[in-house]
Amino acid sequence: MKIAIDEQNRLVASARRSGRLPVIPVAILVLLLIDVIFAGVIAPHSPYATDLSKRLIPPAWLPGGDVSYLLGTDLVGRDLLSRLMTGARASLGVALATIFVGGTVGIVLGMVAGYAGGRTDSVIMRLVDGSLSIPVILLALVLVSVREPSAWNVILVLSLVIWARFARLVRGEVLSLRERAFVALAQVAGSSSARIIARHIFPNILNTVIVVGTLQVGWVVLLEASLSFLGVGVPPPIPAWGSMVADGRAHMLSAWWLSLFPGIAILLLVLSLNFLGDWIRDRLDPRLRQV
Amino acid sequence: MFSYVARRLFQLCITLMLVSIVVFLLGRLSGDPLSLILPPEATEQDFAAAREQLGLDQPLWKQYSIFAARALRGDLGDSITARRPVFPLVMERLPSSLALAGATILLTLLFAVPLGVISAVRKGSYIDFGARLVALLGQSVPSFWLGLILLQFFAVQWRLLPFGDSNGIGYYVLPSITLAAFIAAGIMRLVRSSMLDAMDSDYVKFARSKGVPEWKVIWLHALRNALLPVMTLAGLYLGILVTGAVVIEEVFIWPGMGRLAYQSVVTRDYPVVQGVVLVTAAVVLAANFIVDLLYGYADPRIRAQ
Amino acid sequence: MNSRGLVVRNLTAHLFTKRGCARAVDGISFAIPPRKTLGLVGESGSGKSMACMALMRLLPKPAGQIVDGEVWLDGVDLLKLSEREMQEIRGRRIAMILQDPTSSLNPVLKIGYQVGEPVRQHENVRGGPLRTRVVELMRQVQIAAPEDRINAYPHQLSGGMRQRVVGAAALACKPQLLIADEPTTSLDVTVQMHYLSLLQELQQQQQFGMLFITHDIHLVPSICDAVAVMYAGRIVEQGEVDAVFKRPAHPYTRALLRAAPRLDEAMESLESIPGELPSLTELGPGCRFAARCSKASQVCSDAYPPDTGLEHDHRVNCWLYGQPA
Repeated sequence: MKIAIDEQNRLVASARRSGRLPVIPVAILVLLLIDVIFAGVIAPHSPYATDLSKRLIPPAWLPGGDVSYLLGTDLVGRDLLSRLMTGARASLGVALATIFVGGTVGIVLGMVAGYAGGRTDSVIMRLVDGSLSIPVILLALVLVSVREPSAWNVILVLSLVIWARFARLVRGEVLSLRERAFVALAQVAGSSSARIIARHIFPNILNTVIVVGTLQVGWVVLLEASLSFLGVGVPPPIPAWGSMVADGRAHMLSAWWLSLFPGIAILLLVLSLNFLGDWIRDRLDPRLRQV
Repeated sequence: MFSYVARRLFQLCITLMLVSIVVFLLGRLSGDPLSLILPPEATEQDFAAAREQLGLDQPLWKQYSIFAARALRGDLGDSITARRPVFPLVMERLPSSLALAGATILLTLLFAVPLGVISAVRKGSYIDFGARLVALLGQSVPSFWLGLILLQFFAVQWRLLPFGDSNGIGYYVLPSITLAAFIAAGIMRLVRSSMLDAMDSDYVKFARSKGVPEWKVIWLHALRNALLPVMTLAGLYLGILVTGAVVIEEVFIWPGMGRLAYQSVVTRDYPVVQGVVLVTAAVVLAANFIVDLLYGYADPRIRAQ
Repeated sequence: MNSRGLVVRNLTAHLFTKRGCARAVDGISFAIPPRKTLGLVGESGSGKSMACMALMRLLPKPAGQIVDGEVWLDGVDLLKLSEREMQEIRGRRIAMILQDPTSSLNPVLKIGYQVGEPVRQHENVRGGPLRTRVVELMRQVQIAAPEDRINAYPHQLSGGMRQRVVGAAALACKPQLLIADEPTTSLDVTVQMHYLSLLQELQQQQQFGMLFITHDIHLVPSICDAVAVMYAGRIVEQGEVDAVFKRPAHPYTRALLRAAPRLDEAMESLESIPGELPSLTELGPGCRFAARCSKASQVCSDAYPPDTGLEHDHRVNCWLYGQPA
């Protein structure tokens, strides 16, 4: 029984391959972030300027295509590429803001629930159950249709969806932290609850929070896209990828590029976010695989 | 055991009440309901009379208690556009939504669990790599877009499958695949990771040391344990399923509650939206409750408590 | 190789990890004649458990691989068997008890099922006869009211009882060799002694050979016939218990014996010897204990000491006894 040396080297090499930073997804995300900031400057055309003489130009590599309209134009002659580049703002911007708002609320309530226990805990956890069990997208539809549609409304609604996931996980973490010696020590030393939460508990759940946060961004992007697909997202004429898919829906046969490219854009963004999220999770907290 | 069931039931009721409060408040937030009910030429007196008749002049908490008492009797008000009671209107759509959800869950269990197991057991293999890539894609693809693409190719272009408002197994294929994509991907990843934990455990080593064949180690010893964390997250996935269904029913013109709710939002028929939200929440909570009981059955450590 | 019992020759098992190839078991050789007990002693991380898993061919895949060596059981090289043949050996001819009874029992399966599993598998006994057999096995390990306990789940038993259940399952098919990997480390001190005497009693009755793994060298004389001391993947000294305990040769063995027995808790690291185990991925050519050894000289870190016979079967790997080449 003997395993040759080069076979041994192969085994080590294959163990090393796993766990590398996902370069391509990170590159895509960096490009998108640059695009979010500079879309107004680097987009080849205005995303709003209509020109009916240039309507429904197919992508440049097809017969009838025009190199200056790389991905073609839409029903009113707007450049699809420029609209996609501007639309990244709605997708990524709204998602990041949502994670920030919903995450903050969820973390605070989760810490309070886990630390206080008792009735406070029960009430907060029932709220969590509730918001995980109702089709929040319907409430979102209502809220957005009642108030004037705006990016802020979308952020508000999506935060209502996302907070419960943070709260649930953070509460679980706090419950186990509460039993640990350093918390008891701080209690004995007479620190206030707020101080214990801020100084002793929060630093210890930070990893969990970062992991949950990155893993949820993708899901929030998908929700935002669903909302704008249903016509209750960021209001027109501001381009959003979801509403662009919806706009092209009736022209799938004749002008397939209208729906195809925005969908691919969403797919690429979410895929990159998920790759990165997985990597961060494996790095910081492999235990959280089931988030 | 009995006290556990009782406690869960009590929690269920509290949660449902919280949902109904939110739904009720949102309804009040959506503006004066009378402006939708009364004809545009109605006078001030008409408004005042209607307000008194509907109890809208009462304090908010009292309005809620009236609303809740009626809801408990199955009276969720009347639809503004259909001019019929909301409850039967919603219940008519319930079976077809449940059927779609059922097909989706079936599809998920059929694919996600075995694939997750195989992927974990063959960790690092091409099967594992492929399965994980497909799962990541499933978790990343916008469902409405996937639905449109599938619809375009399989129903419109190649005419392989029907779609729309009709019966027959064929009609279930595309919507349930679309809906299952995200959920199955999540479940598969979950099964894989908890299977990896289980396969690394001492009880698996000990079972192997007893001479238990590998297939039994995998599908009995490890999987029984690996499914427990999956079950604890079933509630979360049911919520995702319902959310996804609203969009997918709209894409596939599926005659379910989600589409009813969406159309009602478009026509501002708030009582119907309210009804759908309440009924859906009740169904999801009931399903969660059943999963909880199953969990107690599957994990003897919980059962004992 | 026709001798009876277990003969291990040059067993080498590596872990292929991100940080490189860890030589966890690096060419160990020993023998356990029928009915005899060998104590394998070492700190945690010295490769003891890896060695047992390698014997059972149950190393964690794909990281753990047996790289070289032979494992003879009654004249058959286990490393040459097919996976299917090996499965016939496990539980029937070689059985194993792991360190922590709580984690080695499956939480969702009934005790009775888990005890009877080897019988069901190897002897194809089912139903009533299997039940009778399981009750008998549990009575053997002194579990009270076994008829009721077969329907219990692991969490319903105490730690000591769980470990006895594990013992019952391991010995269900009357194996000729039992590998006991720190079977008492996770038990209370009072329960430990009880368990060890039960184990010895069962050995008397059933006449199995045993590989007894422990980090506590003071447990060895009362249980074992021979002892092997392992350090950083290699056996540095082995021989009859009498010889090794009366005339310990290797500085590491001496240090182990000097360290006071610790009954209070399961201390696995040896604080009495300064320094720590070398990283198994970055081993030099010399003696692995050299960095911590008070008697080390230049040759110790330059070359690995030869296997030197002292008296009878007492062997040591140390430059204090062998001549530099």
